[in-house]
Amino acid sequence: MSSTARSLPVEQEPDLGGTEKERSELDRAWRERSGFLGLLASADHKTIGKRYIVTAFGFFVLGGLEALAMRLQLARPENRFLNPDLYDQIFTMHGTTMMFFFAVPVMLGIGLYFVPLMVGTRNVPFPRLNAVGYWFYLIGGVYLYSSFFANGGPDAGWFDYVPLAGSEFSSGHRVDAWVQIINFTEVSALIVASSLIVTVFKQRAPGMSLNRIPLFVWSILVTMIMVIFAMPAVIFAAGSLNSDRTIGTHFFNAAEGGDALLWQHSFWFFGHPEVYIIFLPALGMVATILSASCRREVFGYTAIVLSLVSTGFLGFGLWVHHMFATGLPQMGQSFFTAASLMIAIPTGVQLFCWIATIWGSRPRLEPHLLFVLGFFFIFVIGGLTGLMLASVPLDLQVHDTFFVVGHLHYVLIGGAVFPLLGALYYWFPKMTGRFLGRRLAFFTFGFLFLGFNLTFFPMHELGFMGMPRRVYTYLPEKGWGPLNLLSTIGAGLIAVAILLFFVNVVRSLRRGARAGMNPWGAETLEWATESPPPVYNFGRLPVVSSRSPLWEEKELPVVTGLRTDRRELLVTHALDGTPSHREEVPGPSALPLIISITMSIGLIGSVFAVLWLPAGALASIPPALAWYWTEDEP
Amino acid sequence: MSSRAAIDVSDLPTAVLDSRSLVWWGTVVMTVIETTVFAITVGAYFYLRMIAHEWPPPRIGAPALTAATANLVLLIVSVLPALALDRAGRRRDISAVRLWLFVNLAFGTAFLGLRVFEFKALHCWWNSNAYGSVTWTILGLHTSNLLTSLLETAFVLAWFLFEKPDEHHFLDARLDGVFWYFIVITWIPLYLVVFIVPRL
Amino acid sequence: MRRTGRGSCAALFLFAAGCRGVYSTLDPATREAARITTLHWVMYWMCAAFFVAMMTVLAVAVSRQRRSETPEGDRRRSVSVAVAAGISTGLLLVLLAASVVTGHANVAPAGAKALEIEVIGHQWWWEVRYPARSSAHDVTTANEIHVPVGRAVRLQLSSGDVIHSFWVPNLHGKKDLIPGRRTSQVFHVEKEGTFRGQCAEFCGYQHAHMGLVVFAESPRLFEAWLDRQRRLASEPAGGAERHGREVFLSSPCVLCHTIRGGGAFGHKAPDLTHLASRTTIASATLPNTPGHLAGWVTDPQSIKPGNRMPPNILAANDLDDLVSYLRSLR
Repeated sequence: MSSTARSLPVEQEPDLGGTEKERSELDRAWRERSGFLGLLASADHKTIGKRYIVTAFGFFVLGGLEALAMRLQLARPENRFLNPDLYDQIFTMHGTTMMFFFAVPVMLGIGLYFVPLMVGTRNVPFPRLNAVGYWFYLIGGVYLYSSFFANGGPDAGWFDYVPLAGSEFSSGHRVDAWVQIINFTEVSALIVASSLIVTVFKQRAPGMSLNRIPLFVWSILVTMIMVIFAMPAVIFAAGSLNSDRTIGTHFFNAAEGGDALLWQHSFWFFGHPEVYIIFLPALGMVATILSASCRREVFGYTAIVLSLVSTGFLGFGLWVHHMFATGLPQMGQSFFTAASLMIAIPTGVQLFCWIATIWGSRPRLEPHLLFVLGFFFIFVIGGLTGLMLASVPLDLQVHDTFFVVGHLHYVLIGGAVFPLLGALYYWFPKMTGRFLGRRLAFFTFGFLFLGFNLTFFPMHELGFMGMPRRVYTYLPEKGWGPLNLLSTIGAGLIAVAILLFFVNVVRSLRRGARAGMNPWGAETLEWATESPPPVYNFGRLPVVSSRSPLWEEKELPVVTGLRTDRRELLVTHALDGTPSHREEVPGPSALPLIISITMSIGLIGSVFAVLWLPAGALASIPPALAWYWTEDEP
Repeated sequence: MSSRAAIDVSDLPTAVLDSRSLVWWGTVVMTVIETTVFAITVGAYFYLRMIAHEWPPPRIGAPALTAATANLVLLIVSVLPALALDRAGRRRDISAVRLWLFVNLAFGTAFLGLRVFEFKALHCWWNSNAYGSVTWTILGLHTSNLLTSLLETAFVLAWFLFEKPDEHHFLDARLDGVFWYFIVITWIPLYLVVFIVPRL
Repeated sequence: MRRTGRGSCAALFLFAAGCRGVYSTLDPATREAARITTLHWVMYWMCAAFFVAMMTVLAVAVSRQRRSETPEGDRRRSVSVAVAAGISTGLLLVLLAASVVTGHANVAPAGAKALEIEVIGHQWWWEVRYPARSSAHDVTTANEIHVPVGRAVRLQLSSGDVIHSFWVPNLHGKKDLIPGRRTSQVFHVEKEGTFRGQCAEFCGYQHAHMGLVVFAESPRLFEAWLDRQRRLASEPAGGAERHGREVFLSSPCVLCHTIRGGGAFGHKAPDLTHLASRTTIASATLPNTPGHLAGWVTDPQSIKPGNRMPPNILAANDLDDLVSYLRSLR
């Protein structure tokens, strides 16, 4: 077989070495604090990444239960399971939860866990700040669900169009809860983005020039840059809605020179890139899984990187296609149609490159590959229905109907959740040292694939039959009953699939087969250390000289001379990855949690009285000062 | 399997005070975020201006220039102590850093005081109309940056007065100067938008 | 096109229901909707072909299980990817052109002879006005729109509260009704029929039941209808109706409803001058029968929770007479 030279047998594992003494010194220097309070102080990127992932799946379950409730309500016409008041809260919570508390954070979490490992460094550059990001995310979620369970869930949609979401038509604090959690999630996303951007640019292993960065890391880098430019739009949007609601500004009040469409522009300027923020990391996962499954480099590295980057750019030029029905000038609409169609090209190029990767290989049919194949099937349908939505005349018919509900779930579940579940199957051995159960994973896939298509495919047809979105019920004579029932049955199958997935995770954590360093014989650096990795990631930092270091090198060269008795990182040059200097990073501390709490009190309190905001800011000064004072502590 | 050593990094410096350092990159990312927030808000300003019949709205009139222009001059002058601070940090000159941090703090506070008159010069409140809302927001955002910077300056100054500064703190002093450049640089276009555009 | 359309629904969607009906995007009754339907099938078949081709290649790639690592193979793969990208770009350009051409045709101005209808969105009903040369002849009705076949119709859309979206699938795509803005929509109805529509932008509690009905009629029938609508409400004929009017005028009904010529001038709710001429009540949610009318008057909140109409507690004979009166408003 001509290919054996390019892949390692599974039992042969890369070892970066390091003496016993170095290892025990590293252990001491990087160790996390013990006990319950120690958990609150953690600053390790892997711990925080895992927390993001676990928390995100918690919210995924909540969002999924909300989806089931909606499906039950819509199973037959004029059902009385949910009243409109509750239904509006539930569909708002479902969208908000899935977008802000599941899809984005889970991608952030996987990025946080794997990017430092894949580029060969010990931690992110600002570990304490990174911890703040997680606490903000958690507190925001807890706040949102406390409001919801106290009958105060936002009910104007996850898009909160004004004036419906304004104080005149949504009095009380329901919409305020939505406005505030935006602050929490945006802070958390921006913090992770800053951490990972600097990690990728400045902490790559020596020799990892830009053209050797793993594709997953590229996808995360582009995503994080999109976060930087997209989040400010929603900061502005939510901030203005907040001030319109609380202190009487007039951004969206047409009577005083404001404009309802200003909201839509600023929300979708964030909202459309948000889709790519969820979807691009998934593309990176697909590439990673394919190269490991086919045991060859992904075909067309440069083309794929350029596609990711151009998707990142084009993603900002599409927002108006959410607003075609508002009656904007025809010329502008044609431009946005063109942009929305053209973004299919870079995505298409990636799909073709992946098929070319599979072509002429012997892909191993592990569950993670199956999830990727499921991704192909579902995502391509979602992409094609996306083209129909890009066309102004067609969009005007299917816009805001169940066709769009079908489309967006094909894109987001097919485009992101399938790769995500594949990636979790693939990386679970690295994170836990144990394999997920193979048989259960196949069953999960089967139920999910079947249930998914049964749930969402009929929705396209419902859209053509005139069923609008966000309706709590419908009249029997409209004839939407049978397809809705089918869809509800499908949702039940999805629930079974997700349940199987959780059973698999829980069982495998305790009884899964042990995994070695590199069980899939993959090529990237996260496989060059133990499973799970030690807190300092690598005994010695690796040096790379190719895109697939674990395939190309019989013996990975390493860095020596980095201090092992302090938390020292090796900083490298942004372009070519040559060593620049060494830098010490702060260690675990409870201050990130404390400052997150003081600031959260200000933000949440401001819902009830504006003065809480400055109060929270003032209360945050002492912990900030303490933070500054203790950064150098060993 | 044993690994062979390839690169020895024990000779590399353990701290650098310039654009190679991680904190420097972090600061740059933060300024990019802030700039984007400003850009979006200014975008909203021009959007509202585009759909308005009259800008500023009737009976408000263009904002007064005296206080704002005086403040602009003050801000531009304040680049000098920031520059001196930056250099003192690079020279690792403790007493100079202390001095210029203090001068910076004084300039910042003076600017903050004059800011009150800039708000007054707008001739309207945030809740008067959309024009008032967006101009107050622009001024408010810039002021919040200013407050953050002052707080940071105070922290670093406190350290230089009461503790023994190491390499990191000289870098912090430099970055304090750099962040001030950012505040000055962003204010020039914002000044033009808030105070000059309504006169066009 | 229509025939293949139906066939494709059966074959690929397995559900033929959506292709026909009074509430379908694929059974056009106007020139504009017909253009969109044509574009729909063009896109649909191109996308379907692309999907089948892509899945076939993928299936072959996965099942071949033959390993080859030769420079020749690499070159072939590069060429294939480039060709595939080229073809896709070509297809996209075709779609773009088709879409832009259709879009432009569909926004052509309606001309001076168009029938103007004002539609004002409210939470959760549609106010419909047919402006006349003198305002005394203005027609105001609600939730049911009559249009003539063969003449351009221009809807002037605005909103009284939040954003709504006007959508009658057989007639045209959606157009939003936005507070502080005016939008419009033009269509040319080509066949008679009754078409249902619904608000398509989430607008609060009863978004789900903010329906409307459009009657496309011959110009003769339309003019006759419009003429009847211009008249004031008819005087109550019998004692029951007369008592019914007293009940109406002495109850909270008058605070919100108008009956032109009947002494009610409220402006918050649908005009009831010719209520009995409408086929539905409660924003095209219930058929306009005495039973439904009585149920709606007494307990609207259990039929459409959250809507703006308060419950009315009336004695049995008062209710009967009120309904008789309302039924007499033809």
